[in-house]
Amino acid sequence: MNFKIYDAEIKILSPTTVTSGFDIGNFEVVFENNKIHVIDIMKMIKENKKAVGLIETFDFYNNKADFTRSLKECGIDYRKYIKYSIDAQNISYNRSSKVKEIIKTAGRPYIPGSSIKGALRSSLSRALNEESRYIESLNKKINEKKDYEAKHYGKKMDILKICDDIAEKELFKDSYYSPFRLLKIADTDTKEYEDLSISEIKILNICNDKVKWFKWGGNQDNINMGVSIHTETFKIGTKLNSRFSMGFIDYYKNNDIEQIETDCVLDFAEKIRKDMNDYIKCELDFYKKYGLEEIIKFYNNLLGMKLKENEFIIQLGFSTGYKPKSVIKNLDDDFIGKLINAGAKNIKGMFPKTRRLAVYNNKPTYPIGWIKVTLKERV
Amino acid sequence: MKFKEISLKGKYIIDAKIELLTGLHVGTAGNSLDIGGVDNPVIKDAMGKPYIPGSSLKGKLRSLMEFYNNKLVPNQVVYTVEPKNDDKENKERAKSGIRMHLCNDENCEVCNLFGRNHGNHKVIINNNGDTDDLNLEDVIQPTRLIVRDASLDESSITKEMQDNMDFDYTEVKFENNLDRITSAANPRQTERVPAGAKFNCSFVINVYNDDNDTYLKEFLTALKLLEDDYLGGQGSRGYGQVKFKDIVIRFRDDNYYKQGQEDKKMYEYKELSEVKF
Repeated sequence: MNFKIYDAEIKILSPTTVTSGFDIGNFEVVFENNKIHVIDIMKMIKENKKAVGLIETFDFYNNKADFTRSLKECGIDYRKYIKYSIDAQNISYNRSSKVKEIIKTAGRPYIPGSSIKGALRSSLSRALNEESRYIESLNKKINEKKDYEAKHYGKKMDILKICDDIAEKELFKDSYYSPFRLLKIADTDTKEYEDLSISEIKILNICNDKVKWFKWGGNQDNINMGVSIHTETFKIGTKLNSRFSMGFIDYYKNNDIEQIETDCVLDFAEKIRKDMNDYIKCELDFYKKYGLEEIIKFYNNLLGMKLKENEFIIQLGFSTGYKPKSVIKNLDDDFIGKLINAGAKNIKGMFPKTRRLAVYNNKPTYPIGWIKVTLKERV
Repeated sequence: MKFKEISLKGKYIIDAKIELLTGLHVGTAGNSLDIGGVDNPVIKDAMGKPYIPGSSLKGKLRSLMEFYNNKLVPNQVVYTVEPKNDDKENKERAKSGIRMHLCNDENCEVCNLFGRNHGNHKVIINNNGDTDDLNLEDVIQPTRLIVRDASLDESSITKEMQDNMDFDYTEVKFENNLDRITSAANPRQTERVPAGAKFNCSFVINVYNDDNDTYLKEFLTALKLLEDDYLGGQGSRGYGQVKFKDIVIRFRDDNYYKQGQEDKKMYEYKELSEVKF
């Protein structure tokens, strides 16, 4: 019996990260010589008595307090306690910024199979063109919420995390019978710190049809004034290895006992190429309207890539926004109204009106999270 | 009931290392109510060290061999747990039973290696899920394969790894399940043994009558299939990729058990790709 398995090479096309969910505190970070040095605070405390006194007295809740300067004043050489260092070229870094940590296994960065699979699953679900079923699912959940809240005065029902339940069950049945369980994607191999860089991310926010940059208290015209998010990302050009497996899919295809609908995962590379092509064209229209030249150039390059049958590109991970995760393509006023009824906050008019972009030398240069996957079937 | 003479000719003892290429999660009942407990803990021994239960390994190997040998077809699949009576008319709910391959073919490579359950069974006879009675008494044989629990090789968890993990031997991975309409995140956390950890595993294959190395070959095929699949939970989204290393196969016969002679080291492989029968 055939066992379908592919070696997958993943090439980073734009700064990409799946974050661990943790921030590296500003007191753990020293920015010097175009590098971010992360200090092993525990090691420093264990090995240096002066550090104990400093830790006890330093005001960690005060963003203006400068831990690096305090270290120097106490005569503590932070270089002895560097855990790791990462390139941070062509970005601005304020000492009060935390750094979002990339996910690591036993201290080594990688891309989880769950993140790759999640991105593929969203794209393959979109490719099914069953948007109306998802809208119907959303309608039913909104009605459920209305009924509940009418019966239980003052209580709120949170449905935002389960709006897709009904549609997903109709399309893919219970998880045991879902076709997506036949698409197995391994975590990538781990990489070294040299493969990482610190990215500075700014939030583009369209207000009154004009480009603004998000800042708490008021959006800014000048990109330099916008809030920066700093995160560990894989460098462009980094290659990681994973394994995609369809296992005994032929059995499920040809055997009625299991009754798993395999169609939606078959020829997945071709379906994703088409879906991404449509998505990129929409994004290009958006950026052309607002004249972000570097981003337009990047997306034009993606569109111009001659992808082979065994290749596809996809966007995944942190700061990739609403669109790559949702199956809804037609984001019209009617749908936005429904999202608001479901409980989504801060949505008015245009949606989504924000994009997160990697900024170099204060210029928006890349959208986050684009990778190219090349599959090689094992014989 | 027929009687067939069964003579034990010896035992293959297979020792190997299982190296984790990606994080492993073999789950157990939750301890999330404990202080510092996680939502989805991994199974651990009495000393708090994670291990791989022989039952998990054997079940996975059997399942892969059932697929590989095309055994999951009508007349070859039985219910080990039947669906509830109320569910039988409902095709969707009838799937709530547990099914596996069991058959009365006395040459079946899967049943003979992994074992048959005694007693009466309901065998599925068509794609509608209709069943018939099946009695396996006439073909019952002792199970050939014994799979030991695999213990953690503590030296494989280096100091560098420990410094970067949440617990002594495991890490906690945070994930989000995203709603496909609203993109709202539903967080979950899973404990896992990190990539790079190694486990010591051991298997015994009993050799009966004229088996020779028939079932050893089948077993090695199952190990190769496992390397191309996954072990434990959440394997379709990254977890449980493993590699067998330092495989040593010994044979013990009368001379070992009665005469006290050393067993024979039959084969030694750095990895499974070297195995060529």
